[in-house]
This record gives sequence, structure tokens and C-alpha cells, in this order.
Amino acid sequence: MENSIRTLVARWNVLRASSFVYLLLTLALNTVASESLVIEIATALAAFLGSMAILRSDWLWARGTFLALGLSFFMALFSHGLSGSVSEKLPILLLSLVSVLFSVEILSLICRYGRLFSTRHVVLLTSSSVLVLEKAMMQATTTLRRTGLVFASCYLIAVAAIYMGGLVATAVPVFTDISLYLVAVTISLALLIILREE
Amino acid sequence: MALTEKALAYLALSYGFIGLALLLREPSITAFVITIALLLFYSAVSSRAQIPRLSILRELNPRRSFGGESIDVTVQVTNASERRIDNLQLEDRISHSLTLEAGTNVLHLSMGAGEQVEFTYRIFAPQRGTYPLGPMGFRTSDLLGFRDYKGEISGQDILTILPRVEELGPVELRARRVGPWPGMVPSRRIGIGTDFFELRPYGPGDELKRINWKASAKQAKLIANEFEGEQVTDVVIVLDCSEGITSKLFDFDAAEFEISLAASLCSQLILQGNRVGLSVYGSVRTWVDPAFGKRHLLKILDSLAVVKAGRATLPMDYAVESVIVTVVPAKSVIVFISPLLGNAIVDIITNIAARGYSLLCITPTVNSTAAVDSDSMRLAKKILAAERRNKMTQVAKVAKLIELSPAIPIRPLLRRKTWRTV
Repeated sequence: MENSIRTLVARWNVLRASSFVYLLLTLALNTVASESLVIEIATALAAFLGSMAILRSDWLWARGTFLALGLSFFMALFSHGLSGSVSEKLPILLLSLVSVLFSVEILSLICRYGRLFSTRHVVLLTSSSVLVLEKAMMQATTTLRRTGLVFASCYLIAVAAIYMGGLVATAVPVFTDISLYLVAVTISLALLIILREE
Repeated sequence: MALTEKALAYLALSYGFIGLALLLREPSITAFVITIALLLFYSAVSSRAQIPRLSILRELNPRRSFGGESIDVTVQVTNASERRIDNLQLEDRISHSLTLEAGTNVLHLSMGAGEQVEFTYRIFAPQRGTYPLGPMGFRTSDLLGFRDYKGEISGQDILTILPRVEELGPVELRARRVGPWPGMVPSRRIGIGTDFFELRPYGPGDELKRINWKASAKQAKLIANEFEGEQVTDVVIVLDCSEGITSKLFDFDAAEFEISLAASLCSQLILQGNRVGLSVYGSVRTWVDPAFGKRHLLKILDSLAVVKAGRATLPMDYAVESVIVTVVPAKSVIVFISPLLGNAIVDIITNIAARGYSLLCITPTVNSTAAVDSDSMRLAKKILAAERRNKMTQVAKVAKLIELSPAIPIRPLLRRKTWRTV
């Protein structure tokens, strides 16, 4: 039983370490998307808060990280928006957004499952509880994998849609003006589907 | 399944992007909305409406405790539905006053149809009282947590923390009425006991060890000792936890002290073979019929576990003088544990004594040297203490009165020779 616990805790630590690496990659992407002192400060802050959140599996630190991540992304977006270069950097900014959202998912997951894998919990494990822990670990990895796939496919579809939209707009320029309305309709549709009675 | 705050936050983010696009006059910013719309769309399509059917079995070890120890709670959850439940969060709700010492009462897992899982967590037993464990709350959500279904699995277990019981040693009572069984209360009749009662001529069949050799030598014939029989009696403990007990006159938790004392007395008196009953007056009124045995002691301790100090729901004089007098045979022993601060308490004790009951009154000690905040407070305390002293003098005329303090162990104080009487 002790071996199983050790393996599970080791796997959990690997998951946490990978999450931290991913967080750093997201922050690096934000910095690459737009170089500015404010963004670098926000990135450093997010890295610190994120490391604390992962280390302690604590919601308070995680919320701070969400804010810092959001701040760094929006600063990048805003700076590009002011300089009018959003359309040029759209794929990388879109990737940055997806990465930020996925980082938020990862941190939430770490905070949710952190209590289960904490030393305080592990000291009380019986053979049946080890099974529960194994199931929780499996659930965590499955959730991460599936969420990652969903985010990646959403990014790819969005990039494809933008590319196709670009082609259509070149062919029929009138579509350029109604892009806002198209998006609004997309959201309304999604909202309708969400709110529908099952 | 309902929309979660997270889904609303994502929607707000989408409209934020649209607003930003309008503000900066940059249509390409709206492209960010596509990703979020796709996520929301995926969530809506993938989530299925399913209300999970779960059942639980909770075991507490130990179910009753005297406090100061850890309680292990083992929970067995079964998925009684015929479908797999993904993204299931279980939370065994525990009272806020309980401290989670080890393990966790929150789980995240998936459960197959008919599957059973078991988990354990440890809580620290706090102060005396009853604490509900459960019901177990559950939440299922879609993969991204945009829609969820919350519910709870009915079934509560009660953890009882009993009042602290101290070993008092023999409690010596005097009663005018005793029961037929041997015990420790002197019966004023010849019988089996340890105290000398009288002398009588030695007869055939008497044990040799009963011969009083000095008396025999004086009277030139064999004389035997007779002993006073010791039997059991009926005892009712009246615990006064009405609002007076919360008075600032006491510089300690007098209510807890009284409850612990009542528990210790009940335990010792039952151990001595007596029939013991309990009557509690506080914000929770309790009555336990006099009876014998360890099971009965557990019943008494359970009743004491829920006692709360406060205004009594029923006038104490009515309850004592009508209920107790009806149920408890005359000449039995009634033990009052009271701060002696209420207006009616002296009259109650006097009336009960007049009906022929043997009375013992135990009251917590007031520390007159305790520091006070202000002069007015000091004066108020002095007046209250003087009134209390007056009541104690009146009670001492009809009952045996003992003042006890929590600063020192109860056991030596309850020995007859160290009893402080007024």
C-alpha cells in the first residue's frame, strides 16, 4: 500500500511540476506577443502567484494568478489594439488567450485535487482510500487531457474560421463590415443552446 | 443542469471582447469570441442531463466520545444509477465547529454504474455537544464546468461528545428512605455494612469475627457486634443551568463545570448501585427517569451532552415541585447543582425539604479576588455575591451545602471531611 501511495504522490507532483512549466510557457507566450514593461511585471507576478498556488494548492493564490494572467493578456491585447496590429498578431494572441484559459483550468484542477494529495490526507489512507485516490488521480489526468484537447481543437477551429473568413472577405468585401454581427449571432446561438431545456 | 458562474464569466468575457473591439474600432478582436463561443457550444452539446442516484453509509469510530480525542469517519458511497457519473464532486458536510484533522471530506472522481467507493477522514472531537455529520452534498458537471447539477444525499449521523466524567471516589449520602438492595447508603437498620450499630448476645451460627472481645470480657459472656446495613437509594440530580449560570460573577465556565459535575456524580452514584434520575433546567429542558445500570448512565450522559445554559422554558418551581415530587418517592435524595442566583431557587429547595426529601446542594465557588473592569462592575459583583451568600445561608438551614471550585480536582473536595459547609 505504501508503494502505491508513494507512486500516486509522485505522479501528483509530476502533474504539478508540468502545470508550472505550462504556466511559464503561457507567460512566455504573453511576453512574446507584446513586449512591454507592464506586461513583464504582470508576467513575473503571475509566475510568483502561480508557483505559490501550485505549491500550496490554494484558491487565494490561484485567484491572484488568474488576475495577473488576465492583466498580462489584456495589456498585450490593448497595446496591439492601440497600434492597430491585432490582425497581424491574431494567431499568436489567440494562442495566448487559449493558453491563459487552459492555465486557469489547470490551476483550478490543482486547487480542487490538492487537498486529496496533501500530506494531511495521505497519513490517513486505508487500502480502500488508496483506491479512491487512484480514481481521483485518473479523473484528474483524464480531465486535463480532455480539456487540453477541447481547447486545442477550439483554437484550431478559430484559426481556420479566421483564415476562411479572410478568404471570404477578400472575395466578397461586404462581409468585412458584418463580422461583428456574425460574432454576436454566434454567441447568442451558444447561449440559446446552453439555456435550452433538456 | 444549471449554468455555473464560470459559464457566466466566459460569456461576460465574450461581450468584453466585443466591447473592446468597438472601443478600439478593431474588428479582428472579435475573433477571440469565436474560441469562447466554441467552448460554450461544446459544453452545451456534450453535457447530458442526468440526476445521479447515490446512496451512502457512514460509520463513526467512536460514535460517542468524552472529547479530547480524534474521531474517524468512514463513508461508503454507492452509485445506484445505471449510468456512469463523470466529474462527480462529493462533500460530506460537517459542522463548522468540528476540526478536520486528517484526510478530506471532499472527493473528486468518476463512478461507474453500481460502483462503490469508500473514504475515511478524521475529525477532532471538540467540546461537549451533539454534532451532525452530513448530509453529503454532491455536484456533477460537464467537462468544462459550465453546467452543473447540485444535490444532496439524505442521511445524517450524530456525533455525541459527552461531558467529562471525573472519578469522584465514594460519595457518601444520607437518606431517610433506602431500597431493598445492598449499596453504600446507611440504612439506620441492622444489616450488612461496615459501620458499628449495636451489641447483642452472641448466638449459635454467628461468625466468630463478629465477637466483641472487650464487651464479652466486661459482661462475662459472649457479645457480638451488629452493623448498620448499607443499601441503595433513589437520587435525583437537579441541574440548574438557567440564565444565572452565565453571570459574570463566575470567572470560569460555570455551566460546563456544573454539567461535568452532574455527569461525574451520576456516574459515581450509579456505580454505587443507586437509582439515579436527572432533571435539567436551561434553554433545553431534560428529564431522565430514575433507573439503574450502565445503559442508564449512557442515557443520562447523552442528555447532558445537549444541555445549553439559558432561560428555562418552564418555570423551575413548577417543574421541580410538581414533576419530581410526583415521580420520586418521598424521603429520597435530591441533589441540587445550582449557582443559587435565581429568585425562586431558595423557595424551591425549602419546599422540597419540607416534603421530607434529603437534600444536598452543590454550588460553584465565586472568586471574590478576580479582577474586574470597572468600579461599577466591582460594586455589582459585590452586591450579587452578598445576595448569593444570603441565599446560601438560607439553603444551608435545610440542606447540606457544598461549594466547589474547578480550580482543583473535584475528587478530594467531595470527601465528606473536606466538604465546606456554610
